[in-house]
This record gives sequence, structure tokens and C-alpha cells, in this order.
Amino acid sequence: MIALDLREEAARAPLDVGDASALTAEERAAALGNWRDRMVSEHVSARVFAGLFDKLVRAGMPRRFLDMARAAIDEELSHAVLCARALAALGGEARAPFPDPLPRVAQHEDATPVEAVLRDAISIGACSETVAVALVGAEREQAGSPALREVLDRILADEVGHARLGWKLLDELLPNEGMRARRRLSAYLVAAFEHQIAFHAPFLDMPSMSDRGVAFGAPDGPSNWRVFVSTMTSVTIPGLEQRGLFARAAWGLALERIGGSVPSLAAGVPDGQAAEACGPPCRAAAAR
Amino acid sequence: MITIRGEARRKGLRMAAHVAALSGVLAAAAAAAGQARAADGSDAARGGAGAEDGATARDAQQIADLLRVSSRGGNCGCSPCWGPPAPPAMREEQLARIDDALAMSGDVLLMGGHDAPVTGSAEVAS
Repeated sequence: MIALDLREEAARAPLDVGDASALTAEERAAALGNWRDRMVSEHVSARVFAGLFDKLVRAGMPRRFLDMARAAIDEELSHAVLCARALAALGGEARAPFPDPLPRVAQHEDATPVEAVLRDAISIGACSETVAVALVGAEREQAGSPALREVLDRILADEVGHARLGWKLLDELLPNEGMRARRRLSAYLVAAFEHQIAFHAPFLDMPSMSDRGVAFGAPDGPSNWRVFVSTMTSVTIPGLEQRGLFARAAWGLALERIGGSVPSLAAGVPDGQAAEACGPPCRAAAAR
Repeated sequence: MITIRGEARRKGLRMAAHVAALSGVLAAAAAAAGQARAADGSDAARGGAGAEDGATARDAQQIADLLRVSSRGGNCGCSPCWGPPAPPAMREEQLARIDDALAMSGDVLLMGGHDAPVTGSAEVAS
């Protein structure tokens, strides 16, 4: 089993997150788990931007976009270190196993190079990183110490850049695409939206959290779920519609698929793509 | 009713809207926040779950109910994090579904032949 070990990096620049002694055992466990999961997730997501970088090169995109994607790779790796420092400051060990196997980064071989870039721009920028901006932005408002607020400020600044990369790619490329490509991209949105809903659905199984817990990084499931839904419906979908994609129709189709029409979901087992979003434990469940 | 958590969510949403650089969305978000405060009657009030955005709260609940009805349960324990997950692959069968959905809504698609770049919104294209 391969593990991510950032103990050395965390020890090199220890963080003072303030007095966390008032946290209950549950709050502390939730905060530690969240920072640990984030540490791994941020590190692993460098691959996602590496995949986008590859697609940008294949599509002959201008250098400024390559620079943004390359910077995003470094930034995700640095976010993992920031999360490791927060984890260590709360008394946790900055070491955790990688998902095994790591989720496959789709190459979109069935698409033109430009369409492949646009699919990633939609999924990574317009969806995932835009939601991340809202989530980190909300959590930052309740940070429990200057040090934690600074960690969140640094991550937020980068997430803004990552989301903007996606929207800028859409603005750069979509005006040159005809209706046939927009139809295909609108169909892709169904998969992208379903993927996003599946990825964020675990928030529904998390309890609410006290302000004290949130201040140290423990997740509030219901609140985070609302941030996800409001970002998708108030920002992402209108943004995609404004740029010529049929995002509202795609959202409706994604909800239709989730509403029980997919046999595996109805049986409580994630289907192929939802399982992929969820990671190894869900794939194992889907295989049973 | 204003809550710390609700206010934090609003600020996060405004940041996300800035990023997408949507004209009108910021105004809509601010209007929604203003309506929530007006209903509360006081900026200083604190409350329970909060109702800072009634429409969003209903959307979130409806989708959550859909997921529960579909027996999505049996949480695998995975925690959704900030790092973007790997983008999904395309599902070709959705092409026909999106065509059907748009035909029902009255939108018109150019299915072949003419495929010149389209500018403006999807609604303009219909």
C-alpha cells in the first residue's frame, strides 16, 4: 500500500492553530479526518491538472493556459502540505494511504482535442473548483485562528485561479464551436453533473457541526451540501447557459438519473461513474 | 433568519459568482441575501438553521430527498474534498436524451449540415 507521507514537510513549518482543547472528542476526530482527507485529495488532484495540461498541449492552446495549468499542479501539491500542517497542529499524523487504485483520469479519446479541453474545463473549473471556492470561502469566514484563516486564504486564492482557468477556457473556445459541439458538450454535462452530485453526496451522511468544530476544520455536512447545490444552481448552471450550453436541461437529466431510474443506485450500490467519483470503497461495493 | 453559518455560505457563494464573472448573478445573490435579512427584520438576529435563501434550501432538500429515495444510502465513508476529482467520461446515450429534453422545451438544435459557430446564449440559439 502506497501512503502519502508529509510528516517531514509539516514538521518543517509547524502551525499554531490556537487552543483546541475545548473541542469534544467527536469534533476533534471530525476535524482530523477532514484535514487528512483533504491532504490526500489535494495531493492526488495534481494528476487531474496534469491531465488537463496534457490536453491543452494536444489542443495547441496558448502558453498562458499551459502556465495556469502547470501552476495549478504545483498549487495542489502545496495545498496538501498546508493541510498536513493543520493536521499535525491538531495532533494528527500527516500520513495517509493513497486511494488504491487511483481513479482514472479520462483522456476523452472520443472527442476532438478542443472538445477534450472543454470537457475538463467544465468538470474541473466550472464545477469542482467553483464549488471549492464557495466551500473554502464559507469555511474561511469561521476559521478559528489567524493561522487557520491564513491556510484557508492561501488555498482559496489558488482555488479561485483554478476555477477561473476553467471559465477562461470556456470563454476562449466556446465562441468558435458550432451547435454540433455544443450539443455534445451539453450531453457531457449530464455525466459531469451526475458525477458532481455523487461526489458531494457524502455530505448528506455527515452530521451538522458546531461552530467550534467548523472553526478547526470539522465538516458540517448539511451546510456543505447546501453550498454545493447553491453553487451549482446559482453560479455554474447559469454560467454555462450564458456561454451557450444547455445546462438546465442537463441538470434535469442528471437528477432524473439519480431519482431511481438507475437500477444500481436504486439497489444502494453506486453505478460505474458514481463509484469512480467516490473512489475505491465504492468500486468495491459496486463489484459485490 | 441570519446565522453565522448562513452568512458564511452567502460569502462563499458570492466568491464563486465572482469567479464565474456572471453579470447579474452577484446582484441576484445580494438580492437574495437582502430579502433574507428583511424577512428577519434585524441584521443582528441569530437563529437556528437559518433561511437565508429559501429557494436554495428547497433545492438542496429536494435533491437530498431524491438521493435518499433512490436508496443511495450505505455511505462508503468517502469525504468530498476540495481537490477536483478526475473528470468523468462521456456517455454517448445522453446525446439522444439531451435532444429529447430540448425538443420538449422548445429549443431547436441544428442537427446536421450547418455548424457555424454560435454566439450568445443557448436560449438565443433556440
